[in-house]
Amino acid sequence: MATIAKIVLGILTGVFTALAFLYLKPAEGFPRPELARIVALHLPNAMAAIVAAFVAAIFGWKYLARGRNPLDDAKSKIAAVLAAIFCGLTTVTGMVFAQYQWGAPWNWDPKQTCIFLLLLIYAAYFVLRAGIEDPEKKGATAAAYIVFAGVMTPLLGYVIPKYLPSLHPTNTKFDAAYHTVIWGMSACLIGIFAWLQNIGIRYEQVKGMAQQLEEEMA
Amino acid sequence: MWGVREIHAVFLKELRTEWRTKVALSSTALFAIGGVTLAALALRGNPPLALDDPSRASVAAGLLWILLFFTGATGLGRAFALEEERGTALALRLTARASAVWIGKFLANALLILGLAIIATPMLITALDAGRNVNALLLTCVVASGCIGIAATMTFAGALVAQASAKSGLLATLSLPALAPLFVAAIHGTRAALGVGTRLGIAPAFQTGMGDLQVLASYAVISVTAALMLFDYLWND
Repeated sequence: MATIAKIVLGILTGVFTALAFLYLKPAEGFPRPELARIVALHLPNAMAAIVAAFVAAIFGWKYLARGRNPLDDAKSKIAAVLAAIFCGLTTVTGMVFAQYQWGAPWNWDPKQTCIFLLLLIYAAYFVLRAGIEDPEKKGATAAAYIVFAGVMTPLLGYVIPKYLPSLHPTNTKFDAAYHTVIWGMSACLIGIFAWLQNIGIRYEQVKGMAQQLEEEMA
Repeated sequence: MWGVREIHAVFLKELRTEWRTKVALSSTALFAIGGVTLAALALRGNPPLALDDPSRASVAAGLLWILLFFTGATGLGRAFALEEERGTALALRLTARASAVWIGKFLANALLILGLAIIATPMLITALDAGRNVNALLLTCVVASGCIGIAATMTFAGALVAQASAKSGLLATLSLPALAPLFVAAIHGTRAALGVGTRLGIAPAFQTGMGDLQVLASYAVISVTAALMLFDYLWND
């Protein structure tokens, strides 16, 4: 069952990527419409990053409030790693878009800056984890920080870019094909996130078992 | 209800402890004055940079919040680290509930950063000659709400840093990204208060800065609420 789901996910991701580059028409309303198709990859990455950020915060909260289960801490940590990766991909695809549409890869646009600042939140989270040795203290402190940062994410990802003047277009009308590809690709990336999260959790479980074995043998 | 007496006791304890040593007070005040001096030296030393009014106001707005951030990072993180170092955290846990401890320390930190902002803001604006079109009321509102947000986030981050073995620099590392929404709104609001992009008069400046004030007020409310909810789990560990 899981193997079939992975094969379907792989095929769908391939299909939507092909559609983004071969089927979508140039996006009217942009300075270089034919090169604006990258939004079909840029927006889904941003959505996957936000989903991963909320998953990290939810498992962080669960770790704090529901009995300090190390598995919840591991889930929160892995989701934070994936959120950082998706934030990085959003920044890179955004820079490619900005290079061709606005003339420079980095323009200090509020949306560009906010997604980069989200990336810094995850960097700070890993610095905090590295600075604490006791596993239980590390879990609780990191969970508190990721929940706090998760609460601030809507301000950074939605409110600030909405009210400040931005280079991002607000009046662009994407046709139905764009909507289909963007939403389809978002679903695929969220599926890939769930898959990678599952692999990460299994890795953490094996690592925990190996540590336990080492302690018993010592 | 809400342990007002406990909050008052923790708040007074913080002020008395600080008054006895004056470490946070003197280090942050010196940091703020030193920062203003360096900024003025760089921008107004001979030969002074030929900046027009909006450029000067924009530079002053950015520098003001950089200064307040690092001033806060110098002094606001000590509240919980000191309890851990002196071994008094357990006594505090036994005498006051978690929310009272956090609120008491937050109020003391807010008082410290507001006091420093009252000194540093006019000093910096005067030193950089950025106050020709200043709207003092909007500037006061922006700085006060920004300082409350900084105090809330740094008090919470200070409780996290107190658990770490390597504390040096960690408060600034943790606080800066979490404070990013506040700084975006605060810098934009300060520019509006210093007359960038607004016509003269109270109403036009408030019209430009109203969005920033709303974000700053939301940030303050959200950060205080989130910190209060989460601190309970950390403190009673």
